[in-house]
Amino acid sequence: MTDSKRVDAIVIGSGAGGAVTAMTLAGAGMSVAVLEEGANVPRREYGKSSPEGMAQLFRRSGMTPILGRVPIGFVEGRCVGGSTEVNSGFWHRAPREVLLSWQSRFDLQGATESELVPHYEWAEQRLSVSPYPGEWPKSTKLFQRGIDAMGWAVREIPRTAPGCQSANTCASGCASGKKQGMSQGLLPEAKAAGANILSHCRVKLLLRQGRRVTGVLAEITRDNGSVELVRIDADHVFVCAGASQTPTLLRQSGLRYKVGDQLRLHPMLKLTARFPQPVNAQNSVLPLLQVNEFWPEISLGGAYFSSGHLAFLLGDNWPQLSMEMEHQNHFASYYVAVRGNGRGSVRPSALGNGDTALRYDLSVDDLRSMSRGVARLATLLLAAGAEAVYPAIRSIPVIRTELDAVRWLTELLPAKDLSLTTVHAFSSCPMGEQAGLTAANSYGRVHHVDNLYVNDASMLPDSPGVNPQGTVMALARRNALHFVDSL
Amino acid sequence: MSPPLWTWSRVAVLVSGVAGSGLFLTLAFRSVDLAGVKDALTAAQLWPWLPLGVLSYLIGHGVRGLRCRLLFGRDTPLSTATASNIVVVGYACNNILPARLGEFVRAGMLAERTGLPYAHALTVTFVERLLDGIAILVLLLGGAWVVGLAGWIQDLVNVCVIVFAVATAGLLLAIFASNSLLALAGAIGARIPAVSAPLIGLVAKVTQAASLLADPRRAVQIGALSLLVWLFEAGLFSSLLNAFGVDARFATSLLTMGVTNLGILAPSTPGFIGTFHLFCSEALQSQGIAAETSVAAAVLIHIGFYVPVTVWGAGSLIWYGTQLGNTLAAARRARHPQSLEFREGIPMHSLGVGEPPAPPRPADPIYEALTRGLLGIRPGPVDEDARAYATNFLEHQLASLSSYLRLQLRLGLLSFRVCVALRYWRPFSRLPVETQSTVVQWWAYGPFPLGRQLFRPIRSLVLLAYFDAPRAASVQLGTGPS
Repeated sequence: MTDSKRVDAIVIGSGAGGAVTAMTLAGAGMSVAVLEEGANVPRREYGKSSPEGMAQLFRRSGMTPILGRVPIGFVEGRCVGGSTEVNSGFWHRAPREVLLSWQSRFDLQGATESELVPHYEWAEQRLSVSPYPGEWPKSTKLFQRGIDAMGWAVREIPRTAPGCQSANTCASGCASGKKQGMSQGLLPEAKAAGANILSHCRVKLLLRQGRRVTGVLAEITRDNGSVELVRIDADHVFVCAGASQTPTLLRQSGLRYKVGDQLRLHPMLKLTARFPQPVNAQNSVLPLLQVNEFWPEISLGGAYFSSGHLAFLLGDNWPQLSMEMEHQNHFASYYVAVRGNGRGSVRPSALGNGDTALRYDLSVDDLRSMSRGVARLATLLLAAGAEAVYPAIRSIPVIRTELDAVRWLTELLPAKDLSLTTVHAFSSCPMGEQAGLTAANSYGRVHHVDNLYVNDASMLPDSPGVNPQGTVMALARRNALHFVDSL
Repeated sequence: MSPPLWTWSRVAVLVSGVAGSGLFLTLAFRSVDLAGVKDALTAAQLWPWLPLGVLSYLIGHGVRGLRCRLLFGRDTPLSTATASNIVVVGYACNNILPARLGEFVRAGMLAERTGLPYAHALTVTFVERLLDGIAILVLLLGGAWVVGLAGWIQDLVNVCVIVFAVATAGLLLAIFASNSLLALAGAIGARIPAVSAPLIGLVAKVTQAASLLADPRRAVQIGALSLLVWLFEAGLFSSLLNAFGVDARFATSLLTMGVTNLGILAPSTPGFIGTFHLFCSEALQSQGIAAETSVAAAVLIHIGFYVPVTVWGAGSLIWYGTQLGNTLAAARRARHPQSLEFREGIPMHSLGVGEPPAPPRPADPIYEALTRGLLGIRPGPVDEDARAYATNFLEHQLASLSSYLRLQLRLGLLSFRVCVALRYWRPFSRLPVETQSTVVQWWAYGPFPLGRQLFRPIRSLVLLAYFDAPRAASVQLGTGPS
């Protein structure tokens, strides 16, 4: 970086979108400042217990629920590398049908399947996306057995973890360094290309003059815990702070047009299954398969498992189920995720210093898909040999027979009793040329501002129905290259 | 190269100050009989009223030092005596240097003495002045309410009511919704680029200053001390009015003190010559005190206000071995906190530093009781290490919630405590573990939806942490049948 008083570009956030943006811009010779709210946690600190991981790596220590008629537990990373440091590393390309619908509904230009292929390939090569290298763990084999019994379409999902050592610490940071979170590969490359990364730096406000952003107002947390307020001037600003924080910052800065009005999620319900034989799921990587049969509306797959998470999931009916903890080695966790189409929003909270209010109201379609998903997953697990299946639903402590399970193919689950979670949030600043529906143009430039871009999960026009990291990275690279070409 | 001593702006400040003082002195003395003023001064009974008044005023400065120390936080190596001395140096410099340079001198010395950044010292100075303004308005309005008003002072007080309401609302907004205030400044700055940087800088400073008052207990202490400071200053006015044989109520002194201190905000020479005399004497005259006596009292009160503090300040400068030149240099540095600097290679302008977070308070026993109650639902022994781990985790996690959710949770737990106390005539944390479990089970799994909702995060966090605590996994759970 030169001795200039301003940088060419500020990138706010260092997750999947921010890291790709920083690397691309720095590679093009621009002076780039990456401002990350969270800490730069060294790898030796990774892999701790899940409570410690939450406190260390998650936004608000994981206490960021989405409110609505049915509250949804939501967590996202807040550290150098963002959520890529704490996700399971599953890799998907957006289904062709989804890309077509984005083009049709939002008039998203330059994002057809063939146009995105080079960007997906670039990211896959960078992150060494590949199948699990060793023998499948038991929880995966049992899942496969159930899928075979049902005769459904399935695939092993490739991951960004070549040489995975099955340590089961994805959610608290991969201590072995095999999972390619952004802190492993892309951010060091961005740094080598000249980008500067500042952690513990939370952007509070975008400073604007007319149609331009002139810089940001940010808080830097110092070593003694005190907070310093600074102004950083820049020619261009890329907001890559994630689906909850990007719209919060934009709205806080007076940019409200279609910002934060449409939050999309993949609501998820977890089911634990008890098998007659030991599974030891707490000692291995999570189940690696996903059922494709009902994509993109419903996904069935494997979930992270630990003793604490088992207790957490049985907690809805703890007085009846607490003794099941005696059999914890026989349990494994799986999930039903639906491609939500309920109404959601993101707003900066009027009270507090930078709080965000997230809201999502589960739609009837969501509930119907969730009910069918629970029926199918429970049937699958029972067909795989599970003695009992425990959904995270207060009024349904256990499902013991396939006949009990299929009831939910036609009936709706009791919404108020569901313990829903999600780790996938997006579409809070959708992009496209359809100005009445979008906050940014097809390449992420925010409407009505000349030099401000969104380049993270918030830009996805709608729910992709699959893990979004791959699509976020592909679109972020496409947008960053388009920006560089336009200079 | 050092900056030139005389710049146009400095000359303008000096000239406007001298002109202001001249104008206000003329106004103060234009319609009084100077011989009458002289007679009143000669007849004044200085003993014991002058020493008492000065003592009251100086005690007020001691209280200012206490407040300053409280504002700087617990870990700062700053005694009340040192803080008082530095505060007085600031006042003394205001008495001898133009343009209220003393405020910056004070910030410079505080930074030097505490080792904290200049920007933080300036923030503390700013919040002190903000609180002073509010305290003066409160006492002025209180005095006015008791003694009644007339003429232009009534208009002044009406304006003060509005200013007080706006300042208080602004302060509350800055404490509880700082981001909204910044957003407002950003929106104004976007439309009027010329004011953008100074406005945002000012609002940033206000919000940081206000964050010093976010702890309610501390805010009450500092607010009370601020009132005390100005009550003692009113003591100077009250005592010296007695010296002239004026049988005035203390409310008259409050009113006069308030009007005078608001009045000296107008441009004047160092020491507020002219402005002090005019506003003090007019306030006294509005209470029916004779013009000559009022002006004489204003002159004497100004002496009591000026001389002791200037002497104390000069003494402090000598005591700390600080040369005036060094102090002025520190003040100059303190006045330019927005200089460009680089962090991690990124150019940025510092706008101010807040204080370090307060040390954690002792754990609320309710979290331990809740954890015990929840874990007691499951038959069998409880691993105490894992239980303690879960208690800490629960408290930490609930403290991480957003302000709004934290408020809801606190209200919910308050209701829980009250209901339990009414049912058992004992606090929840003092109930036997079996009863705690029964209570928790009823609230967390009973027929009462709000209770279930309240306990949902609590039970989830406790179970997650207890069973993922390192010892719980091996000791508590066992391996089960295989």
